[in-house]
Amino acid sequence: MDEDELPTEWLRAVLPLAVLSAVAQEETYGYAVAQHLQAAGLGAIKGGTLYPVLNRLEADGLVASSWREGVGGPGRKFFAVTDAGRRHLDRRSSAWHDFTERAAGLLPDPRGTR
Amino acid sequence: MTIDEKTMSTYRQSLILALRLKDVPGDRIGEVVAEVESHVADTGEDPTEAFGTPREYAAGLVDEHRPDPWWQTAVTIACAAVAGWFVGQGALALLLGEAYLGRSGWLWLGLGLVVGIPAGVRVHRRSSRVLDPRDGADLAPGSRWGVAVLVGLPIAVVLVGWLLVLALGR
Repeated sequence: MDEDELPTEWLRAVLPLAVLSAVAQEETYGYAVAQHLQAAGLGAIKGGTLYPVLNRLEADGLVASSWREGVGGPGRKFFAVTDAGRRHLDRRSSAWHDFTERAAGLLPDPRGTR
Repeated sequence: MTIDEKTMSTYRQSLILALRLKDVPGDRIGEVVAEVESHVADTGEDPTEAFGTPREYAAGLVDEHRPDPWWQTAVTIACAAVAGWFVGQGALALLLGEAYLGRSGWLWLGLGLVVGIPAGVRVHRRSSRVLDPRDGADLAPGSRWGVAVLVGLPIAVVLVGWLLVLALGR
């Protein structure tokens, strides 16, 4: 495994929350979310991974979507966070930080011994 | 880089077919196809590269759409077959002015409709049109001959049967 490559199960665990967080920052569309996640260091998220997550968030009532006409191109599906989505993001983010802190406490930190 | 229309069209048709086979409703199929097209237009990626093969992507979406159990499909097919038989025999009996199994053709015709309409509604729901949510265009327009064959064939079968009975009866 490439040293910089994140295990897919880690990505699978954090992706719904990371996508919800991206949508909560501003109303946005799929490709922009993928770029946002890549810029944050999560790697290139394929469309086949991203859209099922966005659609699941929508089915759960955490985001809402609407199609808008593109300028000189095809329309884009924009996603916006709902009130329920914002509450969910707050709760789960807090729980996630608790979880990762506890997990980090169990692991050695090779970065400090370099 | 942009993806050529032929590649996209092939992927679109395969994806529509794969989702149809998973019993996904037409409006949802249109949404999925539009997402793929929109994303590919933004990224310039090959659709298979970005989403996997149509069959793989459709299989991955099954989680969000639970298909009907197999027995519902079997009941629908059985009802459609029985309804077709009743309507055909009823229509033939009316054309010949005779009874079928001692009952009026109207009875069989009505029975066929009672059995067939729920099955027809189910089939129609499954075959609902795949509309593009961006502009309302039909993403999978059916052949003009398709409807003609669907309606014309059973009528032709009844008429041929009627003519055969008349010819043999003489």
